[in-house]
Amino acid sequence: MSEPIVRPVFFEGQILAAGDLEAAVGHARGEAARDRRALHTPGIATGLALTGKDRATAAGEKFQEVTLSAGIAVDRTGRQIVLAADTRLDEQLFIDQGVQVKRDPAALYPVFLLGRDVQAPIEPTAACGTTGPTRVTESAEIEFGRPGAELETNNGEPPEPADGVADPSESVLVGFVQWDGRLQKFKRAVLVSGGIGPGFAGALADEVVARNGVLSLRSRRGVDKPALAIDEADDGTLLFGPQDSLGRVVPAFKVDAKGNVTAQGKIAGSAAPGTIQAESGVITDGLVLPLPSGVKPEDVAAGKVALHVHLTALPPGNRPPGGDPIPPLPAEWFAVPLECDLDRASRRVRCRFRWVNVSTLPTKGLTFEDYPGACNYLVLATAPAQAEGQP
Amino acid sequence: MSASMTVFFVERTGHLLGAVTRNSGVAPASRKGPISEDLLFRFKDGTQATVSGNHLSTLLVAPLPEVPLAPLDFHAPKATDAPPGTAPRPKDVKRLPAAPVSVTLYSDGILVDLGRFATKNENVWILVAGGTLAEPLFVEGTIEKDSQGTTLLTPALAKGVFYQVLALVEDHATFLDRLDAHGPSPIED
Repeated sequence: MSEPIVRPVFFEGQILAAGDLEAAVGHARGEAARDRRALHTPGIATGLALTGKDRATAAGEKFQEVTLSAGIAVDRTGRQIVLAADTRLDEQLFIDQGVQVKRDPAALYPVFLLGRDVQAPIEPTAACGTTGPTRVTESAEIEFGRPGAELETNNGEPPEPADGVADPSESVLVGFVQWDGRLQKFKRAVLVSGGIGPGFAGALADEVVARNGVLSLRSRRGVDKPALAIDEADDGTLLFGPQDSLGRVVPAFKVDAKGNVTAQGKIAGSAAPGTIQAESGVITDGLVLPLPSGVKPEDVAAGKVALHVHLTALPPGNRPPGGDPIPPLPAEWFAVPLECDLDRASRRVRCRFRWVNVSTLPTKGLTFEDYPGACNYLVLATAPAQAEGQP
Repeated sequence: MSASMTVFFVERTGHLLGAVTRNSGVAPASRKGPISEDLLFRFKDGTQATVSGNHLSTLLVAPLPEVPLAPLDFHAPKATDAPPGTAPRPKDVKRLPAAPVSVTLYSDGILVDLGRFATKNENVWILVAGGTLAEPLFVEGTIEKDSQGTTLLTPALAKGVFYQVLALVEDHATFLDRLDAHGPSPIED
């Protein structure tokens, strides 16, 4: 358990010791760190892009010169790490850190940024009686890890609530490099390995409130990049779509305050509770009845979607399929529906007609043959709306 | 959005066995067999046979009102200048030519006769059901160019017993009838 936070106070005529001033600075730094770790997720805040430029040795062998651009990151303790200038990754540092896996030339080595306080040397021009350094450099150091070390970042116990700034900071992943053991140079720089890449700082918030009446979420700032906006204009709308050149959302999907939905495209997917989806047409005997678009057979089988099916036998014309040719008509036929229903288990349509041959009446009486036919169908798929209070 | 029609046809010969239209116009794309759906074929006497999707393909075409009513009158022909079995079928269905075939059942095979000499190899697909058969029988073969017909060997059919027969020969009218089996098929020289 950490100690309660102590803030220095001063009185008129007080003789200030170095510890008093240090406490004032330390309190401010600690408060800022507590804000950052409580209200933000760790990661890169800006910059810190790892890039490689193709180079070649005098013998023409290719390698890459890898640079980490200037930027700011925040670690899990809330410590701010500032890389003040673009920094080339040092091959000798890579060798010295001894992370190389010699048997795997394709291995990707994680690159981390680490914040560390470094006391500046005592200036020769400092006043008499100066016994220690008067400045601390908040340095940002680049480190390399063995393959897999990226999985160990952001682990472990979180800081105690009253803890101040950690020194050194925790490591922040900025990318990966591949090493050429023969050239003793970097082969290339990549951002992602095994689905893991640099994280970017985010926000921890249970409520986000805009101040100008429009709350926006953007994948990034840029024309045609997707964005979501809650706009209080027109009594309130939810908008989703690409951004225009002014950063406004061009709505491809819109919901107004009354719940009216306007979509430029199709709304697909499984039937949502309370919705009705339909399909209709004509189908021949023996085929499986089609479902409305987006309705899954497994949802029907599981009872999540109810089907309402209406079948009507389709008048089959004046001769049986493949029957006597016309004209001339050597026989006169009429048809009556024999069956027109659905096998619920298989969803297969059953539709047959009894064709009666009138021409045989004088000699043999009425004769008939049964043929498959076709029917009109209408399928409504409904997903029951859940009653209030039900899960 | 316009309506669409999916036709189910025997891949070997192109003969349609069923059709379904969708007024929404949203339908699965055409699929060359085998397909996942099967189809229940029913003969005039109520005898039924499940035709596996292994025999079937589908085409997505513009609706033709007469096709769902009488799919056996239509086929999805191959391109006319392509060798049999090599060319994709155009996205079109057409009424079958009025070129009948005759079929004779024997206790050991099925004779399919065109009544004339074939001008090209013609694929044959036959479904026999009912009679003494516990399960429907599917037979495939080819009538070779310059021959008038072919006899396709089958498991034993009982002499004098009636069977339901659906015989499809590429580019010929559908044969659908009830036939009794004769004795052994004549030995060809």
